[in-house]
Amino acid sequence: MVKPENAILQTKSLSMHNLYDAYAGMLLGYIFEIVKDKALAEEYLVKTFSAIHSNFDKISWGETSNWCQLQSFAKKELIAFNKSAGLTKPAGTLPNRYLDLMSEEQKLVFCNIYYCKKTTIELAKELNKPEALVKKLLKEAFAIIRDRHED
Amino acid sequence: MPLLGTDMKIREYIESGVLESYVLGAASDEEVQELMQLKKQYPEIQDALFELETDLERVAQYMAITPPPGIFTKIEDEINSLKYREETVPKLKRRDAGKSKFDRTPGSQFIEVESESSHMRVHKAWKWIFIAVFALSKIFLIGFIYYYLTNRQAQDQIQDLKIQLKQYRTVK
Repeated sequence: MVKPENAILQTKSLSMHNLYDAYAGMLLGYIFEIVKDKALAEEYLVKTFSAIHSNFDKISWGETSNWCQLQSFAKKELIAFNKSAGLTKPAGTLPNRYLDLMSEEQKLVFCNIYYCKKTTIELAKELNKPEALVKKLLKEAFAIIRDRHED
Repeated sequence: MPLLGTDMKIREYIESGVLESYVLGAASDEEVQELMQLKKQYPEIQDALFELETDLERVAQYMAITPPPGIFTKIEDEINSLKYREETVPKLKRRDAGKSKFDRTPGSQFIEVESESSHMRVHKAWKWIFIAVFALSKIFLIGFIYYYLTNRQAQDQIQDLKIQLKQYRTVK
């Protein structure tokens, strides 16, 4: 069954436009937080959307939310950039009402996974901490996001 | 197929942090496979996943930056150039696999002319036009040299005859 949000994805050319209208701003904001350069962020946005177009028919649109799918494409495009950047410090370019409420540890775990496409195992090794603790910190970070929104 | 059984175990699984890892693309392949199966079996897991995806979307919405005008046109241009490359270059690459760069198949429609950074593709007919122009230029060059030499020889002969005629008139 097609989710209501996926009704816009029936035809490819129309869908690209709809996806752009709905998610380009979010993707640009996400990419900008990583590359910290507006022109470069726009370049990555173009690359991300052309990658989405190339793989449009292979994407299982109903399996995960559209945003998660699109974000994974941006993450793939940013792999090389992130590799050169190493362990990410908490993002601070834009004021962030969610990150500001997290502890340093929660922020470090959330940002490294959210922005750098690191797995929990990889991050646990890098931080020299048990994977269970990394998952716990990540869960706490999500709880803060939800609480902040409900406030 | 994994089974969690009791509500307690489902709650433990949801609380383990694996769902958060999954929505961020940080889960291992095994965790993803397991979660995909459990999601189908347990609506609680599906609901928890949906909530996490919504949370993530909220963060992204909050940090969104409106793209400047013209970005979508750039995307369309990029897509069109990718399409063109997919339709043309891979076909040539496939056809040329295992052969020398200049080794052409009899059915090939194009010959490649290499430039500094990219390829320029021209129709195969141009190959014969280039050969014809080259051959004609050689024929004209030889003809010109031959005409020049015979002309010079004729001029010399005329000059000799004039001298002889002059001498003949003075003697007379």
